Amino acid sequence: MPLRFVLLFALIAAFCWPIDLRAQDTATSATVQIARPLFRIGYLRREETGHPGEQQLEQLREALLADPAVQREFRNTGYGGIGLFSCDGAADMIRRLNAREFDVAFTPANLYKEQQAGYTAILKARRPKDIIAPPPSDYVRRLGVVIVSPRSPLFQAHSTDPAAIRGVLGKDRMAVVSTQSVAGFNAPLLALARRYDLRTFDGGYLWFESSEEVVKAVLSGLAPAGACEAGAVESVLVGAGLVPVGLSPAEFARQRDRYLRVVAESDPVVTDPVIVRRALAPRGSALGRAVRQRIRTWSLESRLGDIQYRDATDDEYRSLKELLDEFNSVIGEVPR
Amino acid sequence: MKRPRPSPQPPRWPLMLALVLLVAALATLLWLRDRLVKGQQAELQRAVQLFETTGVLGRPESRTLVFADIETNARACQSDLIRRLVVVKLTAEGDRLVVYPFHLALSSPNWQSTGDWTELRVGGSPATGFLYVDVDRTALRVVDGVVAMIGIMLAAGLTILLVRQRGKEQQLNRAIGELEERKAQVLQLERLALAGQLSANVFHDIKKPVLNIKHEVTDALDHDGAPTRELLEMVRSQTDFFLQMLRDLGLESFVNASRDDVEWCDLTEAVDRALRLVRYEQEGIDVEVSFAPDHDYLIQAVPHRLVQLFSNLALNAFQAMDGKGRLRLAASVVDGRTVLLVEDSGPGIPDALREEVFSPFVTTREGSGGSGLGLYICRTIVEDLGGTLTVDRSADLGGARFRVDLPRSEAPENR
Repeated sequence: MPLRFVLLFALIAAFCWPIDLRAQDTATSATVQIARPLFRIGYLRREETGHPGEQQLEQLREALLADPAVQREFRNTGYGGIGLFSCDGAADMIRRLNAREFDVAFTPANLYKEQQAGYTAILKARRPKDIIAPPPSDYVRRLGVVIVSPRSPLFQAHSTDPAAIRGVLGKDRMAVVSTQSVAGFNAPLLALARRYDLRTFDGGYLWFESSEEVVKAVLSGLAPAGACEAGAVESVLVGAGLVPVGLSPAEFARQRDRYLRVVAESDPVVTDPVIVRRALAPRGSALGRAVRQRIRTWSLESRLGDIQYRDATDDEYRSLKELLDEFNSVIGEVPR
Repeated sequence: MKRPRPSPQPPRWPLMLALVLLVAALATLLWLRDRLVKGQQAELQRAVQLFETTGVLGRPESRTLVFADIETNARACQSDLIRRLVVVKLTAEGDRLVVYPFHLALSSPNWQSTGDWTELRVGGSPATGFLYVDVDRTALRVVDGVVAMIGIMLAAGLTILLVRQRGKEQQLNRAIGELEERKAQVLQLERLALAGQLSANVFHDIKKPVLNIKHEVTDALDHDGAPTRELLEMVRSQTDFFLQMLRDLGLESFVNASRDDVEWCDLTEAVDRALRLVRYEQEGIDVEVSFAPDHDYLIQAVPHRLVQLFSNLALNAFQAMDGKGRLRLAASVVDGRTVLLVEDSGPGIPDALREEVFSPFVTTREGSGGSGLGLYICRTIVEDLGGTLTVDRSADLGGARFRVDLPRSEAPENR
């Protein structure tokens, strides 16, 4: 019995030990301040295009450290510096969120909904092709689409017959992006299931690292069809010079249809958030407010690879849980 | 007729120098071309190795890949040399899918016909894909063009050289032709000269028996007018000699007697006949003939040629002494050779003429009837026998001394 108490005490002591010691085995880039805890920022090491990478987050760290309001709040709360911590995939991210390892995290929306450590969303990513509405609604949503290549029989047929689509798509391969992308994976596949009652693919899934990669796979003929974010289609076509910049949505759709055919489109889904520990929620934390403000201004100033961050509330992500629940019930776990 | 001289050709060395320079330039360009080709091959090999080591094309059975990595590799391959690069993934089904640029199959379905593509295989067995490279061959084409140009210039230069050489050969052939023509003319002239010479020889030789017969007959008429047997035999002998000469009027048989006429001759007999033949000039001159004992004086020769030899030498001596003096013919065997010395007490032959006198139409008795052929014929006869005929001054008699040096013939009984 005493031994059990001793072990429990040791576990609690280890957990409460200064953060700089725990960070030594996982930090990829950190300014270590002896005896003062780090303000820890977590992110996925390699995710689909649109998430900030290590270089961009390094700029953010410098911006935060240079911000007078953040400096003041760091002194008030006892933080000695900022550490950047990369996660090796979704499972690692969720595990570390549940362990409250991060003060701030850039995370896919579905992972945010899966964590159970009480983080709250303070910002949402906004990319150029996202659906937005002007303040005060500050609505930012993203669409997912299922596309077919010119080599597919569906490309020429213009068929919307569910049986025909099931007969073609269901017997072939489907290119998809990481399961951690709601708009690029869950939403379009759910739309396909809803509209055509198509849940499985005989050829299996072809996994790609981003929605843009899915579009390229379909265009090159590597995959006959793919599910991705809608914005990726335009960015790839424009980037390759196949479609000119600045077209109206109708004109873009007309020119897009020369190279791809959209057979399903999802409902708008909320974009990926920046989340903070509940204690740093801006409504009750001056540090949370300072950090949120600095991230917003920094992202606007640096454009962060065409991603901006808009204010968000935790309530915006409630619909996400319903979508994921439906996905799990209709399609279930996707084997990888 | 004097032929016009051919117009002088420009010197050949500038052309040769130009050709040497062209060859050197050609060698340099070929070396440069080799460097360019090797550089291209190395760069293409590097591109293939990059795709193989990074494995971005995956295995044929996998249709999952990272376009961003392929694009990174493709950008790394771009250079001044590699203008365009197309990356093709090979699938297990045998499809060849263009994955870089990913839209190429859609935007340019006939892309392969729009450039000079080099196909490079990526991966071992099985191949995972191919690289199609549009190599900038401008430098290589420039070098090839210059090489071709130099090649043409070299060919032109060599053609010019060959033409000039052919011209020279033609000139040489013409010159040889002219030379042959001149030679033929000279030969003809020589033949004519020889004919004249032979005519003179004939005259010179047939004159002797005729004059001898006339002399003997005149002598007999002056004394008693009755022909003696000796006179008649002498006339017959001289007539035979005369007829023999007429038979020998053929060109070769006169100058070079046929081997068929060669027989064993006794020099003593030949000397005796010769002296009798020219007896008409002997008056007032003492003649001594001696043959060293214990030797035979047989040689293989044409008999009348020996008579001709010695009669010429004796006649020369008689005429040189002009009716008063001494003639000595002494034969001996010296060092295995038969030597016959013919000496007289005449004025002799000046040193400067001792070799010339053996040339045709050279005489020391200009204006006194000498034809200048006697000694020439003598030397010809002696040389035909393999001997030598020389002349110097006689120490005893003070006049000319002819030395006939003949090889000894093998005795008939030893044959």
